[in-house]
Amino acid sequence: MKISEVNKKYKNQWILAEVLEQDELSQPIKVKVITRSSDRDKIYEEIARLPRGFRVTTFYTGKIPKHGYAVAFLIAIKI
Amino acid sequence: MVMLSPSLLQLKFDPEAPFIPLKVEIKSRRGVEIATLALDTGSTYVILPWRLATALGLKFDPTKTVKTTTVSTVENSPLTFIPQVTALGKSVRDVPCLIRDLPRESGVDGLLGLSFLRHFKLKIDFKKGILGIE
Repeated sequence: MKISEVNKKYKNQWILAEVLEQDELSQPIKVKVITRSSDRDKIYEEIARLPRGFRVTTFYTGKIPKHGYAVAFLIAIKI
Repeated sequence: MVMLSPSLLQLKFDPEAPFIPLKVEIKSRRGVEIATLALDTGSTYVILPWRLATALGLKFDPTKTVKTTTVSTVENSPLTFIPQVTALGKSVRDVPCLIRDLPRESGVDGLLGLSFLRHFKLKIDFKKGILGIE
């Protein structure tokens, strides 16, 4: 499936998918959905169960961020 | 996607979006995960969440941490190294990475910070919505 098709079929879900085709910028073009969940952590736990040598992608099909949210990422590190 | 030269690949992005999400290849000894990371020049390190770092088999010592401060909290986060990170067509080996969860509402897996970006010349054209590194 194309990414646009996945976004349309599985709304507001975290997706784990096998990458079948990608472009030079590492953007997946065609994928095969392995699993989906509203819980991001469940997607990551599924990666741990994959056999070695996988090539997968994770992404959220909902709006980033949700309506009414702004973002401010700030990490200041004391070493 | 616009390719101007073999040394420069450019990505079109929405300049009105609240942040710039990038597809980033995280290569570990177990496999490759193409994660969605937010471009963040305000972050010293690449940031990945706990469960993803564990699933990828990234090695870290939970007793060796780095004190990190955000706008709201101060936490201790483990430091690890990602065998290879590829973004915008460019790869770096042994990239320092902090392990820390971002809120689920962010919609991204983590942050692409300076531990990767400082290896390149970063070009961001907000008027045209084009991003590239060389």
